Amino acid sequence: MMLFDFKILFPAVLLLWIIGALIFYIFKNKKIKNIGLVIISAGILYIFSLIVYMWVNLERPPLRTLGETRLWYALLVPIVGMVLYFRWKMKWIISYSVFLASVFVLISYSSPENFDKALMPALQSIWFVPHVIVYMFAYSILSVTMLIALKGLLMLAKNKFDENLMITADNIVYVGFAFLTFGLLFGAFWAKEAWGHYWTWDPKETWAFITWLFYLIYIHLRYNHKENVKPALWVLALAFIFLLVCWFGVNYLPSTQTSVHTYSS
Amino acid sequence: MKTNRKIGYPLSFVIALALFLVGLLIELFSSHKGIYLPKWPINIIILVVFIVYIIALNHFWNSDLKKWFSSIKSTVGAITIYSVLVLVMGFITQNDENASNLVRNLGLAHINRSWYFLLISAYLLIILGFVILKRIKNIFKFRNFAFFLNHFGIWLVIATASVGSADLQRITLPIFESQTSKFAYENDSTLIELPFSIQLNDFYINNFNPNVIFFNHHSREILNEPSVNYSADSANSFSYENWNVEILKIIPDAVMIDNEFFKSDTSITQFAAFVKVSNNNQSNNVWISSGNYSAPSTVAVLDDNIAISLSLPQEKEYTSIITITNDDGTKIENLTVQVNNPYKNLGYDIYQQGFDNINGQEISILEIVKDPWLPVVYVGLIMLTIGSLMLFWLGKKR
Repeated sequence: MMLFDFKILFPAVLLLWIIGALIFYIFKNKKIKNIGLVIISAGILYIFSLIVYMWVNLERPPLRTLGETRLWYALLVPIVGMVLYFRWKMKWIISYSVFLASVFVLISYSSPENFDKALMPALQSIWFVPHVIVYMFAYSILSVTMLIALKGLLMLAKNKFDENLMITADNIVYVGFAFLTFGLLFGAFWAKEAWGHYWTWDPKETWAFITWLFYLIYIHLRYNHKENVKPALWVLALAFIFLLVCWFGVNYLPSTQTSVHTYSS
Repeated sequence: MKTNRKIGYPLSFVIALALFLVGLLIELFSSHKGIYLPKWPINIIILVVFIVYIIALNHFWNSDLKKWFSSIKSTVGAITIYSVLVLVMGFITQNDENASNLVRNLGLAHINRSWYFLLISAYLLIILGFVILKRIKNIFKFRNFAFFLNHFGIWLVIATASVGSADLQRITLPIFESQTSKFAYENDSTLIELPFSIQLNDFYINNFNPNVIFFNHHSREILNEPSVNYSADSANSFSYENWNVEILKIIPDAVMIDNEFFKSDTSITQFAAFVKVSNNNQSNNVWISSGNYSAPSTVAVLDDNIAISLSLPQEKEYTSIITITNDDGTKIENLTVQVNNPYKNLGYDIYQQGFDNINGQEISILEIVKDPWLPVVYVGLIMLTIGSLMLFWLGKKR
């Protein structure tokens, strides 16, 4: 269907998001701001309908390849941004999350993938969808903490630090960490069903564990110790880098060539 | 000892690093093969002694230092050093036979079985133990209960998965159709006798339909990107440049006789499709096929440059139908075992691991796993699941 041709869809989504974000950013009037949000939502809905279309057309959940997970990310990041905006009135989060999602849409546009129906037997499990979606959700939420970490470090450098930023970061990390834990646990339960053991120190597992551990360090650094702002911010930034390594990097690291978590050739 | 803010954190790293160095020293003078923990019942004794040790230490040791050991400060140092070790594991290929001597001697090729990882893990478990015992008094408050589930959950997982790994059995059983087997290899070397025999009644593979490939028949370069659009499904049609292709008929398990394809029950078959290829001037009906390990694919040449064929089909599912006979004579007949769908018998899980093909005869490769510690580890994992759910609900305490 023409409507779901990537050559049309991705520029259309980008256009909607740029216009929406600009309207949201420029105008002070709340009603006009909301129009911006509606336009951004239209872009989100477009991505959502693409995912549904692919799911039906491929006769499998479009969650197998990196390109497919990128689409979910582009869907979930702006949704998380909107929720955070309405929950904590963080205006800046809208433009940042839309920008982040746009980057992922642009990557998908510039390096299109081929989508075929094949779904290897190991992936045919009731755990497939919850495991990957929970992770994509966690990644979307935690990408916001990366932005906060950078913002916080910048503010520290300028000696204008606002403690409220850390409160927001803590809240988001708790939610993101819970999802990260679900992803790890669902993965363990699934691995037992598919590969015979719940944990084999497979490179992807190791990197998922590293990511989890560094967010765990952040949580403990912040627990009852408000003074640890600087190390906490660095750990937060570092943890997200490890998250990216876990998501994309393991396809390139020499230490991970033996991974059983390889689904795209 | 006064543990103020200044010395709290440095001390936490100093102790964890000191433990790491001690472990590294032992590692340097050890066999360089990594630690293999003792099996049942020694491992359960070690675990019980360890637990009693933590409880006794917690009960009888009352000093500021002990307080510090059950504080967030000691925790941060311990988790950080533990995390850095796991991080190194992420960068250096583990269990690599080509690892350099330096890497091997430092234990870096088997970090999860190294002395320093063992010491740091034990240290982490002791601190965790203190923390759990400190908070256990008010366990019935909602927040404390979430705390307990998360901390005791992870304690249980790390402790029992570690000591239990010695009792884990993973056995590979390659089996031909209609063959019965009671013996299998563990780690490709030790022959193990199972308390039951397995007979393979049937093994079959279902494939996804392959894609039609357009290629240049001079350079062999593939011209179209393999995608769902070009799938060799009945009645599917698509075009490339000025050529239109319509799939008239498909035979997933076909053999070729006199340049035509027929359905076959033998195990050496290939995927074949009868297609209509047309452009503005002409229209032809031709056979194309994916080939297999003993026959090349069937190609149809369209013009001076372009030809079409089929890609190799990808496996959709492979299925073993087995009959199990236990040593006491009970029989369980015609069970289905597939990937993601193992069968449990007498404490063993029977998995479909893969398959092989030797001289046209298919071999189903089963994996048989026994992990007697699994239930305890799962209690820990489930505690963590519920704990995380509660944490998600509660958020951070203000």
